[in-house]
Amino acid sequence: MKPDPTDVMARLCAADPAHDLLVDEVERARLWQQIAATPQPRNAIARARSRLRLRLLVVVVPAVLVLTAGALAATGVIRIGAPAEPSGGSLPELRGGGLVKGTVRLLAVTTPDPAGGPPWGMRVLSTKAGEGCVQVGRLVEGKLGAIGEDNAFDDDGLFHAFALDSTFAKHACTLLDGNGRIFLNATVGDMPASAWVGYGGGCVPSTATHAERFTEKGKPRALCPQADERNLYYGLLGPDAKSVTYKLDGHTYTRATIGPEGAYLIVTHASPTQLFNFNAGGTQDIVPVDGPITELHYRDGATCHLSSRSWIGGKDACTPALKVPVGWTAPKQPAPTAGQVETPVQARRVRSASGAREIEIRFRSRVAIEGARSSYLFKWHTPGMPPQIYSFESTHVDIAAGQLVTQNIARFSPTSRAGRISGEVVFRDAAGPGNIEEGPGTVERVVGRFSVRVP
Amino acid sequence: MSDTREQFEHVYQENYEAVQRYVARRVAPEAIQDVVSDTFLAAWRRYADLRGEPTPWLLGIARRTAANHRRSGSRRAALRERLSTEQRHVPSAGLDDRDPRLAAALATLPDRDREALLLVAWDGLEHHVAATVMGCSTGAFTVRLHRARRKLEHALQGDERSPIDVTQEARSLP
Repeated sequence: MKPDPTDVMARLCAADPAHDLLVDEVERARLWQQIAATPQPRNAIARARSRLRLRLLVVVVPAVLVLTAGALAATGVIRIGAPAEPSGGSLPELRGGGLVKGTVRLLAVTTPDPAGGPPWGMRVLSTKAGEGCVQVGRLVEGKLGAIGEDNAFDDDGLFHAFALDSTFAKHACTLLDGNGRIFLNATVGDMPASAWVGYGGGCVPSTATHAERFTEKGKPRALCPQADERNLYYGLLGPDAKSVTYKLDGHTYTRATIGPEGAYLIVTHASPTQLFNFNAGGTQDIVPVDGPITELHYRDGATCHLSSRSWIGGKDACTPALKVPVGWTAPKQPAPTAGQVETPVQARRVRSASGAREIEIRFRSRVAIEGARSSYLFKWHTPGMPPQIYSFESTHVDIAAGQLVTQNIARFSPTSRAGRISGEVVFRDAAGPGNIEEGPGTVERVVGRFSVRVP
Repeated sequence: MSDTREQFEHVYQENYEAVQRYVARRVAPEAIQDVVSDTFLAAWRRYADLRGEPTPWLLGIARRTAANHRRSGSRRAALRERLSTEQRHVPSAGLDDRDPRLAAALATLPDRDREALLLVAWDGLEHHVAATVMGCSTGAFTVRLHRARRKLEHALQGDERSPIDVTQEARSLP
């Protein structure tokens, strides 16, 4: 039986251990006095000032763009409004990510909305971190965007195009395969028909939990009318895909996939009684999950039957089992062997700049880490901790082969239990399909182990 | 210098309560003030690195600070010992008393799944803010949150049938 996560979130909210926590104003004032007496590094001040100047430029330029777009408002079944992007909406520079210019491509997929109006569409893009993303939204005049309804954009009824590197276009990302292709299946539930899930208004589903119904400032959000909630099932099955079969309202449909990407997009009304409450969130996997799709058909005649375990996802979701998606190509650079990453790891007790006692881990990386495909993971146990428990930290930056890696972990104090802090450094590589965190093909290699006595 | 300090004081006063609550949910009571202090002192030193909204940035620092902080005399240690599974740190201070079954089920989740749930359910963050705290994209966060919900519900179902099933079912999940 599929679980109902709504109850879980409500139960979690009710169990909040800090619900009745009071602020100790004396402690608050004391800490501020301590901070105020702490000098800030001189270079930090200079950087803060230069950033302030940069912000002034950033505010002026979008304002000009907004005015221009308003003046050029087009006619048609829906009028064109200002671009949808507010401040801070572009793809993050996480791990050297961000949009690779020229990779944004609108796909030839148009799916009608159940209530009419502009159809839904999808576009793809690549990031500098080696990921491919699929964005979905409403489609007007060859642009992907959102509509001013469902409390978004003051319900102005206009079409607001997404920026090329929008994070407020509903999207899903995964690592590109060895041929630079995207293989990805996403399910988004309880999505407002406006296609807007970002700043500047927008409603939340009536099934949202208490915590999700309020802004960070405690202001209640507007609730989406049930008739304006949508479920979206979309993805890219690759060049070998031919069609998908799905069941809706007791009927079975088979729809051809589009283009060399093997694209599909299904849009339905969301049901108040559906098993999963997505709250405009969703899931993604190497096969379609949590949706109406029952079969994937390929050009060579093969068919993937989604099994009863498809809600869990992964390679077992298909019958016969798909170790990797059909047509998916392994990265040209295979995952390093254990012998290729092993290296001496040094650990020692140090004091951080703030005077805290920590363990410094140092080793020279034998392999390069570039983009979102690989990282180092630090795992460690502290005295008194059961052996199956560990704390962890991972790297989030590119590392060159031969580069010295230094990471401080495991802060401890004079009152901490004496003993040994021991652990290991692990190299992780997403050699298979999917992402490094969620993908079924991520391999782990032990780089080295460490152990430090703490008094 | 004084301008920067005034700006940071505003950030401090606006976010003190949110940071304190965030920390209180994740470390033992006796460690709360230390972690809060370390968080704001680190934030002051790194204030020039702030990009965008201060709240997720501060909570990101608090997350790392809390993760690195040694816990001592925690009642959670006993809970962990009862659960013979591949569980890790359980940043859910005080939950054991309020809902022991939920605490046990939460303990079976991978750290990042658990953190995704708590950022939304306890800290009340929007997905894009919580994603910033966790250092991932909004898309990746929503995926993680959704899976975490399923896993937690699955673990709870197992727990309420038989405590032994919790570990077995948690292991069966990808």
